Amino acid sequence: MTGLALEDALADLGGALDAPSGDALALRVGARIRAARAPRARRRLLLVFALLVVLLLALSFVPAVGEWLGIRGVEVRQEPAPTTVTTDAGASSGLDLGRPVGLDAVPIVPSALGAPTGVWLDERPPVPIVTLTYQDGTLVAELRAVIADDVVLRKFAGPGVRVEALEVDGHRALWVEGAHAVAVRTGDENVVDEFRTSDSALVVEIGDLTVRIETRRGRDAAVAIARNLVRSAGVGTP
Amino acid sequence: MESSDGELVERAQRGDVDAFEALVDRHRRVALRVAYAVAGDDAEDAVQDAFVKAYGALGRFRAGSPFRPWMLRIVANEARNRRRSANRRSTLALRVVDPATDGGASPEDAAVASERRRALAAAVGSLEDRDREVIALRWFAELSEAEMATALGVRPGTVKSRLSRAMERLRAALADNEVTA
Repeated sequence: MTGLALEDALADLGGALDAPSGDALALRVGARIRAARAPRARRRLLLVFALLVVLLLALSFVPAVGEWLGIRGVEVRQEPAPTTVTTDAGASSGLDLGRPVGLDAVPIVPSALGAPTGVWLDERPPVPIVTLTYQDGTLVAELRAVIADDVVLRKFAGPGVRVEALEVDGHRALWVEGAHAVAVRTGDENVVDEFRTSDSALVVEIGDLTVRIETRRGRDAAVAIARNLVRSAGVGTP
Repeated sequence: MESSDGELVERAQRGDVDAFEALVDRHRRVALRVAYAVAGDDAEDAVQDAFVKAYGALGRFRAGSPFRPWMLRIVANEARNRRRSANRRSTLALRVVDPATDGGASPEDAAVASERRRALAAAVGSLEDRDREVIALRWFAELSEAEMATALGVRPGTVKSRLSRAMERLRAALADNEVTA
């Protein structure tokens, strides 16, 4: 084969190679980039807020007002709860977790906690919240807050309440230590926010679920429950 | 009007993933062809990883320079690394799909052309990785020698000598195959 004939033959071979067509390649690459960007953005956000927490602790004589930490669907504001709730529909208080339902309504059941004393479904917020209650006062609430900016729960961590960003088996979490107020958004912005008080709580993202674990048994116990939920859900490290 | 590579790169650098997807779609066939010549059946995974890495490296892309050779450098690296990590040192079997005949060639001519393609693919597949890579960039991706220099990260003079040596070895492989056939 002459030099030119070989070059022509190679050019022809390039078009005839049985290489993959890659029809969906662009979509797959785009999906991977978008998926990778979200955690990075979240990590940056956590870093910023971790620095903020350090700064707030360093300047503890200055009242911490208006700063907040976020987990998908849950906003933790580092400020005292409003003494009154100003809404169009008025305020309510107390532990209203919705109506009783069966265990089959629970996205992930924490197997390590045994049988719950109650299972509740609250359908008033923008996304339903399923709550399991246990004999020792532990409470596990699960919600599918798929829209990152849509706040369903607001926690007000005032003075004496510590907020710590952490990871549970690679899943983003916040530990709020100390009694604090929780507001449940029960509809549009102009409709009532329902307030109640909460013990220390861990909020963790597991797959597309946001789970809130309220316990008096401390941070390590809450993290253990979260790990059990991660295993029960069968989701890997995000 | 269709956006140029430069415009799409600029948008992607500002975080526009749709623009980067358009770049991927535009260059995927050439990228897959080069990766297939280097890494065989690992081509699609290699190219997917390469494009994701390319997106992360867009900040280092020099504005105004051609996108394709820059991207093919990442693709070739990824394909080469995959083949190395899989410890595949034997001949690479490159499959060929004959193009549909347009009615101009007789069945006999088409069969001869098909046989020649297969023989050439076998000869290319028998070359060392670095020879296959340089041949793929020149003939399968149709890069100029200057573009190949970018893709290989070497000087244009080095491209010329590498290509020349690869072609010599390809001719030798073809001759060997003819003798043994």
